[in-house]
Amino acid sequence: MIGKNHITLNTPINSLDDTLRITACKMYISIPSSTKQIIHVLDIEETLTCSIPDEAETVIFGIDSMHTVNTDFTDALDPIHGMFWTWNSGYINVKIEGISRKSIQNGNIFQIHLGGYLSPYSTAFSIRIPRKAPIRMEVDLGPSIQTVLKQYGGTVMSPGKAGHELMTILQRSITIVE
Amino acid sequence: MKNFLLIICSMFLLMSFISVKEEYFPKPHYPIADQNSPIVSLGRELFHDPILSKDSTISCASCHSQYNAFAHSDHALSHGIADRIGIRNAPALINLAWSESFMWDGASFSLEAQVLTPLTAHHEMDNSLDTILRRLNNHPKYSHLVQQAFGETPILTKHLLKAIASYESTLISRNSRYDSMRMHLVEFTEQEQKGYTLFKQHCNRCHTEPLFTNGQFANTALPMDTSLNDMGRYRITQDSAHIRHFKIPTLRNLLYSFPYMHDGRFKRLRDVLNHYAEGINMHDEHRSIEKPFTLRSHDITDLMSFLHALTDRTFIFNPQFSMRNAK
Repeated sequence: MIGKNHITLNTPINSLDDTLRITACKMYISIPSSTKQIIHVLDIEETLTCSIPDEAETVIFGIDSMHTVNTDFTDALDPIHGMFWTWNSGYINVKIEGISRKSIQNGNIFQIHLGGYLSPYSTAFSIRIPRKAPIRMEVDLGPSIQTVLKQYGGTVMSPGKAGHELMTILQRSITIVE
Repeated sequence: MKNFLLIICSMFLLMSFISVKEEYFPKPHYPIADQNSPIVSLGRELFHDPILSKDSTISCASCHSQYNAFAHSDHALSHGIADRIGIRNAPALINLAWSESFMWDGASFSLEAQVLTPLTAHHEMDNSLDTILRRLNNHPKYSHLVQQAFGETPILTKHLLKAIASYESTLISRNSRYDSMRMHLVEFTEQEQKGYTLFKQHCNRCHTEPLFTNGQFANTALPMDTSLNDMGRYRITQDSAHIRHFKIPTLRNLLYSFPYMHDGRFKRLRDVLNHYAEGINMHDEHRSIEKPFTLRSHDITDLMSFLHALTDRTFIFNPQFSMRNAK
């Protein structure tokens, strides 16, 4: 979502006093389990739905540090999904890219790649979920996009303070719709 | 009976030799693969194959050649496809199984993750995983090698990374004159011994025996190269304590791994030692070295004599590491 608007890929959205277009939106969701952590890459181009076991009480947005450093690079953790930083090992937990007139970058693009597993700028966070399935989570990308355009010239693509701040904003923009 | 005693004595000697050999080397951080395994054969093949680079012109071995102790001597900074020049000196690949982080800035947390960096970096191989995997899967030789190594096809990212990392884990150097001295097989010359004493006094804290690195990062107070403005580990941690800190490299096989330092600014070993004696940038508030080392000219000669004793020619010329001579 951006504000109250549902996002459709490459389709203009009038919001934030701007006309925005989202060109990519991907994120990692990890589900702690008594056996093996279940990890999904959600991609607006494919699906934003994943199955969560009945017993799950929390979901993690992103890949935690333990699963980052012990990755076996298979399935959802395969870097082929374009969600792994090769210049600074670690997973990109959330990737949002698009076009906004307010971006000062070439072609008015904006790029938000949020990740990092090292303290104090670790970006994975967990939220409690109701045990009644199915659940729907709405994530308002508006505040994060607005911040990156206003404060960071349209790009944040490294682990660190800015990424951590944007992830905190994103965390506050999640609503669980039962 | 005599023969029996001889066998027992030989076994005892052999066992004590092995125990001494293992005693002075710490436990590796990464499992060392069997040099004769199909996974290592595959890794060796991939390491030497330009198919991994975007325009199929350079391989890992182009910048990490065995005769340079798996570093590169032609350029101060790494040389990628289309004559692109990188920002750092290609480091020597020696005893990586004992490392916990990789690259000059420690950007990679594992030997497998490290493989991805040069494959995709613009100024190195500039390729994408999609392209690499497609090429390998369309290549009959690799389908066969991957099947042999992993018992499955198609080749996936995990196979590619595991194979190269496994090969790299076998690049072990522990057969220098220093190692022979440690195993009581030889004694140092007077000059080597003097150099060793100086080494322990000045260098061992960072270039810790027997790996000759403590695996940490340091700012060696080099004058800043403003054309590169390389902030080192700070780029990774954003911690000001890491400004211009770079991985402390091993000193093993230094004779072969020139040029020296993260930006390859010194071609000669003597220049490096002169830096520590006279070149320390005392204005660098982030430096790890408090003050220049007190080294007279003959001290430097003695130190160099010791550093020469870290040369392991069986490593430089090990046929198992190279493609041409691989069994």
